[in-house]
Amino acid sequence: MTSLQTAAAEMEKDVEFDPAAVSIIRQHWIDRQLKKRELEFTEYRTVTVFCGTYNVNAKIIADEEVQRLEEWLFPDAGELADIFAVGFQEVVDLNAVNVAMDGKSQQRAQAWQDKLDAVLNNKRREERYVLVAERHLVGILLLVFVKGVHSKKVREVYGASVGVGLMGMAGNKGGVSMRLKFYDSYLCFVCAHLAAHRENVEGRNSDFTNILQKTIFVDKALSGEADTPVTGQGDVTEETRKYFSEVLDVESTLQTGISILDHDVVFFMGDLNYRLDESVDTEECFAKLKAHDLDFLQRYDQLNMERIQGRVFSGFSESPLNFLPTYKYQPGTSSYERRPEKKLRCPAWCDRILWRAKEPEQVRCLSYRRAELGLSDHKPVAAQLLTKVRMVVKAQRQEVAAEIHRLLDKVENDQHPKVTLEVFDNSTLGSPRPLNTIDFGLVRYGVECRQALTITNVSNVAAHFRFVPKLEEETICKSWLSIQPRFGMLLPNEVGQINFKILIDLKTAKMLNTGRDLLDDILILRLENGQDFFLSVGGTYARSAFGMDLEDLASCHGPVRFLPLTAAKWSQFQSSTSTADKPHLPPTSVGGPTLSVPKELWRLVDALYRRGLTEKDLFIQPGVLTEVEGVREALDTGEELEENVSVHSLTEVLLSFLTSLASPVIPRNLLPSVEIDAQILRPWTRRFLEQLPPLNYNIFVYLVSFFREVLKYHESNRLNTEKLATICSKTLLPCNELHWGDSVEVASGPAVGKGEEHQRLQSMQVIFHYFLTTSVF
Amino acid sequence: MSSGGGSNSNNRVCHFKLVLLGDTAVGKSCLVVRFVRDEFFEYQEPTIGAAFLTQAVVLEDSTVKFEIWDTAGQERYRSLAPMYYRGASAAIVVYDVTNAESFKGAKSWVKELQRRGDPSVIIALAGNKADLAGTRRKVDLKEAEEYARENGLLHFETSAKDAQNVKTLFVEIAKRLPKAVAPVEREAFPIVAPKASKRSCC
Repeated sequence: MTSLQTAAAEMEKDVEFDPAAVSIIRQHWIDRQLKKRELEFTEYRTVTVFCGTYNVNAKIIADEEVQRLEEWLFPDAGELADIFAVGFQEVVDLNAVNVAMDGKSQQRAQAWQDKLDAVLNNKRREERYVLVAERHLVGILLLVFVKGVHSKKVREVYGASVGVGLMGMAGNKGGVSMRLKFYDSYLCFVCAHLAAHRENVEGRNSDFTNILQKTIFVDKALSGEADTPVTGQGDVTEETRKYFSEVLDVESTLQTGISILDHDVVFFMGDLNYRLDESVDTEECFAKLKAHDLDFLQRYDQLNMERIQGRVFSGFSESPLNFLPTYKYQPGTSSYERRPEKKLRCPAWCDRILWRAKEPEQVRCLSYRRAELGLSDHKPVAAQLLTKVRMVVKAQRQEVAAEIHRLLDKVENDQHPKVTLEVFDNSTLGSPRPLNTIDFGLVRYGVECRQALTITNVSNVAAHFRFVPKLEEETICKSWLSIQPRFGMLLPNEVGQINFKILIDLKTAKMLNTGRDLLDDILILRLENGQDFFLSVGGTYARSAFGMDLEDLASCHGPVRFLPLTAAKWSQFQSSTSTADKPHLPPTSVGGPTLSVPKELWRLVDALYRRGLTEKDLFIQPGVLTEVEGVREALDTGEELEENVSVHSLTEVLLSFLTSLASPVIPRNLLPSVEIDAQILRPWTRRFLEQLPPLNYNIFVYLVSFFREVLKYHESNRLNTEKLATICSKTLLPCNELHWGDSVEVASGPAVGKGEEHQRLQSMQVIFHYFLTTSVF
Repeated sequence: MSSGGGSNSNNRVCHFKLVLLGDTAVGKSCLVVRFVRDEFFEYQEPTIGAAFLTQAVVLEDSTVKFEIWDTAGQERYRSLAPMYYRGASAAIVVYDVTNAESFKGAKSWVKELQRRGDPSVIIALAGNKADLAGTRRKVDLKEAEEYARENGLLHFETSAKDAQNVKTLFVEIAKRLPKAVAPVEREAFPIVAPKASKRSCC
């Protein structure tokens, strides 16, 4: 393939109509409509979220003292929180062993989890809490509990950890996060431990940024499954899938990952390690603390200063720091660390809780405080945050979705093309006919009948119509019918015409004469993307001697027109003649012994004998079409032949009668298999006559005798033996595909090539010549 | 991306082919017109062919989009019916509660579907014209219910005229159709009691 061809093939692929793409775009449209109308089916429920952060300095509270945690976890008054998100830092020493090995962290995480559980599920209270998940990274631990009544409303829980410590990846500093769907809001909890040291503000800022950037929630199970069907219909190709990956659905989102800021509300807690600005002297700080001038100190809080400058925690909120700095205490006391042997540190609000809501009014801070636990060199901090969470009212949402779909369905159904069909009424009576019936009335052998139907596009879209075959059939109609056109397109209001034609030829006549077929069919006219119309097409077949079997004709004394036509009756005839393999007429129709030649043949020959022997160009000149039809009709109905009919019309009917016979006068197996020369001519012809079936013999003798008579007048009718032998060859031998087709089924005979066939016909010419010139009978 | 993703996962639309079968004049087209357009015409022309319409049913956790083929009921066209029920996920076989013959017809349609239709096709039997049942009932409700039960069919007596049970009929079929597993179901987090063995969240 040349590069040009490749490009062309590529382009072809691009422009290919893809129903899956339509389905995905439509789905996306529905989703957006629903999103727009979200308020109609969304209710808000206010829940209390407790966030707590505690740097425990590798200490663990003794079991008998766990009740002291209550002071931190439970507010003085009001309801108990619906969610407890509790973060710890330094649950283990941040030494090299603990950073490298998870064992100790794991153990401590479990211990804290058990202790919190014991407090939260204290028997004194009725409320029960269940753990949603636990996640830890070295010293950082995050535990999320929900009230038991909400447990079924928690879904899609994922965790992620990001280390930002040594070399930017070890876990001595960093953040662990958890996200979940609570009712129909997406909440994210982050517990962080940022870089230490008073002067290292930038380090803390960049740790924060790193945590935001590197925390990605991914569903590992989902990322493994590439082939999940996403639209619920059709085959979605890889390209289509790729093209629409961002809108397909949650699966692809979870494969690529969700970030912290993607959530409705983010709760960020931890030992953020921000201190007081270095411009504040340590002694001055202690003095202000003594005077309880927290307002002054807050202004010099590094985090507050950085946030005002927009360098960190952009979009986050925090309540005023109305509690004393939480670091650094003499462990186990309520005294800041001022012992002479220790490094003198300026107290600071290291431990903080912030939040960020997409819709800021949905979170309100009820309290922001510290607890006085003396376990560590930090004091624990707690915030109670009233948070509005979305609750989708399913029934209302369903109603809105149904409305959207109704609108869509209406548009789609209106896009279906619609047409009306009208049958041209040819009858002078002009009686209205059902629109779906095309009635051809009486249909005669060899007479073309036409009907037409108009099709009008009454819709606003283009209408593509075509006739389709019935199930498990290959053709759109039976072989006696032709339809023009078989397909087409109509613009709105455009009117088209479909023409139907019936022509019974010898092929179809045979089926109709034996009742194996009826002039009756149903056509399926399909409107693409619309409805199917069933059209009944039919007529009454005027039974004809043309296309019938010789024996049937010979056993029929009356006109053939009035014989029964249906297959059922025909099969009765067959069963009444058990020996014959071809259908024969029943005795009731016979009305006497078998005729020696069919009466139709006799009537034609008789008329020619009386009127035509001297006609110039007898058998050569064609007849008049209307007269030919008239003669056929008279033969079939038994009416008298019209006297003034041209002789040529009679000869034409005679010849076509012979060629239309269901089986030829001279059966195929009697054709010579060897070349006929003068030596074998006589014995061969004798045997030939012996082998002819009686009826065929009669007809053959009858016709040859007639032709001999015709030859007597050769001076006026200008016929000669050659011409008549040729006419015999064309009419008495297997002369149409049906005759040949029948004989091909005789499998026992040797295969006959085209040349050999020609040879046989040549020989027959010689034989006919012999019969026409010799008085053998 | 909105709200951390996933908020729309339960709008998933699944497409299903549904075919209406039944003897002539039992009200197949009327049922469809009532369901799709919420209209009713006292004189509905006989369907000579197969009409195509689409209509969605929104369920709690998914949406079923029906591609409805309403077929001709006249005996003359019976042989063409397989074209329409082939590949159908659901079929509504309709009879007229005031016409005992039509119930016999419905049974033969059910038999044909069971023999030649999709093996998993969901069949609903609808006794239409229930608004006339009070005075002209010819098909016993119990008998129809029993027949439906024996053959594992849904059964409703419906009225396209007064809309009785029409929506229910389609909704109940929609509920029974097999939908692809909604992702949200798999994401449901198994919440554990804190005392249970260690569990991390991913």
